[in-house]
Amino acid sequence: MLNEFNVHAKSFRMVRDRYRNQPFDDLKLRLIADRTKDGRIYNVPNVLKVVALIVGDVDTASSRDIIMEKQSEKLQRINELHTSYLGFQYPLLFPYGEDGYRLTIREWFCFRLQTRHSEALTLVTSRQLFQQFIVDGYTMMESKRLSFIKYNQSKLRVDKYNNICQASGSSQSQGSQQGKRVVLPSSFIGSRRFMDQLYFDGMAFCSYMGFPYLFITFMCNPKWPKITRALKKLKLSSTDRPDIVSRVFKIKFELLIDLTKNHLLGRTIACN
Amino acid sequence: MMFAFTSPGAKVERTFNNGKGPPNLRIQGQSCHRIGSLLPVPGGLPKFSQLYIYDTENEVQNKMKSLRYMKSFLYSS
Repeated sequence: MLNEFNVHAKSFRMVRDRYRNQPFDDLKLRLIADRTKDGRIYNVPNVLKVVALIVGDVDTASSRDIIMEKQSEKLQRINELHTSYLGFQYPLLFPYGEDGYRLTIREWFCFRLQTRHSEALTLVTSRQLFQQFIVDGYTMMESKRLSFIKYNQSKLRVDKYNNICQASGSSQSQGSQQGKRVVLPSSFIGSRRFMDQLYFDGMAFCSYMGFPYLFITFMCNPKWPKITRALKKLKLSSTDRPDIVSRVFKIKFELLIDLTKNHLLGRTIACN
Repeated sequence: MMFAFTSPGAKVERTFNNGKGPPNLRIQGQSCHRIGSLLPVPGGLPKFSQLYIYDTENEVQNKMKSLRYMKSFLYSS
């Protein structure tokens, strides 16, 4: 099946045929990252658009392309912006070697992680592979965000911040503080500034309004009937579909606003 | 992993997945995918995309050998 339909399998088979006929040639395979045409609309990506088989020297290529040597011990790293990044790793989830995202990574994953009637449920029913796929996707997204912050430090006015630090800091400097520092803004979830901001918000709130009467912790139960009902049809357990669990949690979490709007636990003075 | 062309390059924590509780995937550090050369090094077994190129007469055997738990099964029998 992969031999017949998957463009990546076909491209590697092409190398095999060439190798079998002329085993002493110096072969190189170039995995092309950028597509000139949109592969999704009218044409299925074909082998020649995805790879180029090079005999002899290699011309200068785009920075994201990968050139596979004939024989070496090194492993090459694939850029996560390569269009076939996920296609290479999950040939069973993308049996045709479909293109990756063209929007942002987040938008593309939002689109992928849905159940559609017109689509086979290969991705969402593949259990552990699905989990790995999601983890992979999240790390792709996060590394993209981090690299954005890293390369846009001048826009984020880090220079000014660093100057303040230098002015207020002591003259003793440690080796670990040398070098260029990348500052994560508070909009990056999980960063120090993000946590600090939440903390300061909470403290400011308490000092203005007084101490809280209720401290509500809201947690997700994977045995909620809404979740089990959705999973029963597919014969999956809740761990196989983290997307459904988190979606139901988000819906319920947003319903918590009822506490403040409809005064379920008494009139709300303030909430954070 | 039998059909994949690339190898996942993340540090996977395996101590956590001991069969108790739901299956988990925990990784540390930056994750990436890696791809090797077209042919295996002399004396080495073909892995990942090399399975599609090298020694395709015995491809099924090679694919089974590349899996960890199948390896013990193959060599013991």
